[in-house]
Amino acid sequence: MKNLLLSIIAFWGIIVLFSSSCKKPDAGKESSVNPLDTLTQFSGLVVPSSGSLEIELSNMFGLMPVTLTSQIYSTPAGDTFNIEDLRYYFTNFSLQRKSGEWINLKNYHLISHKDPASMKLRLVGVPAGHYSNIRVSLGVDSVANTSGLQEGALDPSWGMFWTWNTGYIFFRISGRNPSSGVSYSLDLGGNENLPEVTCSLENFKVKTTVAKLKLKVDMAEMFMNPFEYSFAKDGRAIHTNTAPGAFKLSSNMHDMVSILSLTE
Amino acid sequence: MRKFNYLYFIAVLLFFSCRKNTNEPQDSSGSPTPFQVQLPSGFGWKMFSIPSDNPLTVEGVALGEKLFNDPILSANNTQSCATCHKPEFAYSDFGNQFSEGAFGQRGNRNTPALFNLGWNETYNLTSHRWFWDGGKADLEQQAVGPITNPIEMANDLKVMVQRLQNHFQYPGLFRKAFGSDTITVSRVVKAIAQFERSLISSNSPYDQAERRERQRTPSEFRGMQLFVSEKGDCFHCHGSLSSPFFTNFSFHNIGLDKFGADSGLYRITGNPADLYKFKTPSLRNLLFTAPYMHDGRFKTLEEVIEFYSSGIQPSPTLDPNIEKHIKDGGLALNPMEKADLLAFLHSLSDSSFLKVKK
Repeated sequence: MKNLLLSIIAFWGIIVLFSSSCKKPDAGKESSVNPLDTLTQFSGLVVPSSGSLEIELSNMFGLMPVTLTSQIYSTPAGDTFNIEDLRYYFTNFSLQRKSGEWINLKNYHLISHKDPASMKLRLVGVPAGHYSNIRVSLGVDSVANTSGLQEGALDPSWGMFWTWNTGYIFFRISGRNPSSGVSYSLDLGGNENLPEVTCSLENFKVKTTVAKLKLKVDMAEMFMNPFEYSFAKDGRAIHTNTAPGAFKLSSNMHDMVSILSLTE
Repeated sequence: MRKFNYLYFIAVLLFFSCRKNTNEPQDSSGSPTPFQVQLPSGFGWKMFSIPSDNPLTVEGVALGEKLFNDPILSANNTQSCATCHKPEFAYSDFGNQFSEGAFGQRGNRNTPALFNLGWNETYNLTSHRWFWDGGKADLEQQAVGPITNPIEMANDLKVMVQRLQNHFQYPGLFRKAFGSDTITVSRVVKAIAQFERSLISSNSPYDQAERRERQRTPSEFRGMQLFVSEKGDCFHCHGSLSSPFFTNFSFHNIGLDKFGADSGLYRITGNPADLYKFKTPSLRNLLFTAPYMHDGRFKTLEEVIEFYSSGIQPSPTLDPNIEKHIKDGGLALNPMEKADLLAFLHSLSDSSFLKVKK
């Protein structure tokens, strides 16, 4: 049905294109051709008419998928541990037009590794356009973080909220070294520690109104580049926005999201 | 002091029995009625800013007051906000250095009084507004703190919402205030914040003198002059007389200790320059809000004045306006100056603000 519709649109598009090229330009009348439909030479994502975006997140640690408790991971600083809880905000997903303009879809999602359903998001209201970059925040923007109290993913009942200090816990990862039993607990937050990640779409060529985007969220990136993070030196428990370790971790997180695939 | 309280209660009873309530719901169609904040005509009392997503409504303020006074918000149904923020003592925990939590726990800070809060949001433009250490930027978010703090009401937010949702009355009251029966944490704290913003204290003997309804006593007048002089030096932090709030909505280290047990604003900002700084409290209603300081260390105003006069302790973050007196150990006030200052401070207490316990 959709294909039929598309081919009809394409057929008429071509007819109109040809007929209008022979006619004198009519200034008063707008062309019924959607230039995005006829675009063939492009890179990135073309959304011909208002559409949606289906995002699937894969929590990884380097090349290994995150498996709670049983899997052991290690960092460049030599720390070895499992992950017992992993929760984070995935918000303000934005697309950048070729012209440079950013379109913020203003979503607030709380991802919990224990809840696989939370890792599949559907964002609607993507305006028609030709997009070359995406950007997402792993946390809560300063406006929502410091003013008022919201519902849905931002309901403080989820526990991702500081009661004694301003705002939300953006990112929580905790676990232990199973052989020594020594644990770690990292809660990141604070307006100054908001990781924003930008990814280019230039390696893709997809034209659709229902784009499917698979993203990798790589926990290994938290512990390196530019700062090597060591539990012994930088802390096993980060529970304030002002801890120096919080700055290191959030600085490292600016490249922790990457695109696995973008398809129709 | 006791005699004073007794008289105040009589005054309050008379006041409330005569006062006409202008904030009655007018609309039976279901949309909430805007709440009119009653402001005095005096200088500086211009309307404070209110968040656009939480306008004051008659129904919202009434719901907020009911929630504020209801022990249902605590883990074991024993404590309401009003247990420690007592309406009959300007929403302070009069006489208690540290308030007791729902399970008998005690913290390390004195319960602050609650009034004229909206102006803190208007004039404090930082993200450090609420709690003694400025931990919270937002009045709505602030209310989550005491409800969930294990040493205060110790509740779980999901439990709280479930209890309210199952209550015979609350779903209907939330419908009136917010348009539907659905109870959420956001709506609970919005209602409480509305109630808190409605608490205006503006009818002290000082205010009456400003409005020429009474004359200041000579001692009060001398105390006022001292208050705004470099000698008394209160006004740098507690506001000049052109502002009716008696606070500068800011944070200072006033030299209580060389090394304080509580690091204050530093705990929130991590900036060593903020060590031992605490929020400047308003000086209104001091008669009803003892003991004093963030840790309630001074039982009487006489002790407070004595501290400023002779007890200042040096430290690197000591406020410059306090530090300049340190060569004399403090303000070095004589007995008459102390008595005059006390008389002026007493005149800032507004007995009509006290509310009879329900």
